[in-house]
Amino acid sequence: MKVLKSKHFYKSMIFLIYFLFFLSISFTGNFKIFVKKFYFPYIIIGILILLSLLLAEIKKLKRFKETSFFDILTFCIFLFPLILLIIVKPTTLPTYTALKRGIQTEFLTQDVLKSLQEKIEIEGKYKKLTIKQVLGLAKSKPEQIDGKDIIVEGMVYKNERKFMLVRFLITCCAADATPLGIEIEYKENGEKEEIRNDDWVKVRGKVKIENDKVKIIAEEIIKTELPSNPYLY
Amino acid sequence: MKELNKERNLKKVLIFLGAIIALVILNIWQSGSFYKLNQIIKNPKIQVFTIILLAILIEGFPFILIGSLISGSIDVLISEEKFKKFFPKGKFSSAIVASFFGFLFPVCSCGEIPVSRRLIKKGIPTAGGISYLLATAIINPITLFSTYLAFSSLKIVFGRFLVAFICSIFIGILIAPKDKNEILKEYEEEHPDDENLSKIDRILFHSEDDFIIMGKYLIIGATLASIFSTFIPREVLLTISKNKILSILSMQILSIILSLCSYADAFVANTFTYLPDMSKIIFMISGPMMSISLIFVYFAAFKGKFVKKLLISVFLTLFTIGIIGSFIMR
Repeated sequence: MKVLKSKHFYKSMIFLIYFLFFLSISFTGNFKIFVKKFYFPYIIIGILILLSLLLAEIKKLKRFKETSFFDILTFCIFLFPLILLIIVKPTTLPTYTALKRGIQTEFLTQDVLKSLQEKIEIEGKYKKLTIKQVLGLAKSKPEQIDGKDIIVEGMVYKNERKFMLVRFLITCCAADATPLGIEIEYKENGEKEEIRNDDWVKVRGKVKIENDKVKIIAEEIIKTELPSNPYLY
Repeated sequence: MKELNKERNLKKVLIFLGAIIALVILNIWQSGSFYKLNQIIKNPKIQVFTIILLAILIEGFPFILIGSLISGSIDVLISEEKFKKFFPKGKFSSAIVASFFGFLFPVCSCGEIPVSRRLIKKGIPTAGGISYLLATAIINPITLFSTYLAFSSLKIVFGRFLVAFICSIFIGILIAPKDKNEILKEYEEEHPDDENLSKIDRILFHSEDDFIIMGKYLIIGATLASIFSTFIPREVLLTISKNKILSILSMQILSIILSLCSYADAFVANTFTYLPDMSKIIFMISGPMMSISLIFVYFAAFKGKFVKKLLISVFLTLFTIGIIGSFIMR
């Protein structure tokens, strides 16, 4: 197996596995677990460059050059994140991160104001809003949201004192995720299925703004599946 | 001979580590608690670590690839004479011109390293190469616009631009050696000037070397950054930020360990509502200039002595500007 001793073989393998990895995350849409949609064109450019590098490296396979220990070490370093990915199979950032980063209960930037101008879906008497929109409205136009019926989706974070609905806002990638949260006032019904931390739920209820703090008086909390876009942008 | 010794030592360390891992696995297996591994994998900390590591890589790799391709093209297509003819020769003038190069090639922090290495190799004044390296990730249209989106304040955008501009020119002039060989780390490049190869092949061969070397160090840096990001609560650094001097220092440290992309850090800085503006600006400049994942890539591209000098001077310059600025900007 002379080829296994060739330096170019290991280099080609690096280009091949990363080419396949980027191809698979862009086909399945799984890149959204890690980065924003904005990066999609860059991922495609990356795939094309990787393919060209792979083809160029394959051409070199004819000229044998013996591999060194460092080439194999480099190959292992490149392999490490992908093996980790296959073993861990992550789905979305858990609320553990929210605690580490501090949950933001007040949030307003220009793009929040812009998103408020978009058409808002209505389900029965409830307005479908995101946590980002609720926090933005509560800060900029509290009169438009105080006392209104809404539906919000997010992850549960609760402890002895608080029950919160949390969702991560990402700008570029999961490393910059900022947890946004709203306090939920809710009396748990013993008969119902227990709601745990990190469960995805839809909360139906009324908004209440007190001393500039927004909360939702929940009428109903329904467990849901992980949405296709777990983050807010 | 030195290489061989290094290889032998590294082999010994790896065999030692491998033996420890094998022993740990054997121990878990014998105690019959192998199913516990499944619980370890499901642990939120491991999940967060994996997501952040992969996020930094998925974000960084396309830019390293683009940067490597630009770098390869510069090397093959533009001759040294042309560069020398068009680029200002003075330290000061070259540093100013190079710090605006981000408007021509708006590559992210990871992409600018191979380009700057190639520019220096091509013979632009070293001061210009260094100021390009430090300025590009900040002084480019995408970063400045995203800063405006995050803060809706022209004062912050201008502050970020100005501090980055001053800092990159100052450091460019301060630490630039006359001889480019004091900066550039020589790594093995295969038949770069083989006349039988087509231009495209030559560009690709150059890009390959850049990508493999810098990609490897990005993985190591991103692994460290995600360990810090997963296990260190931000509050620890944010609570000591009440004091002006400590707030600048803690923001510098936070930006180094978080390793955020320069397009995104403004949105994170905006959430530090109780910090003075100057500390936020320093956070947004220190990250793109010396975050932990970049530090590793710097060591891949440049000589160790130069990188140490660069890091110390960036850290001290930003600290000084931060302190002076926080008294001017209220």
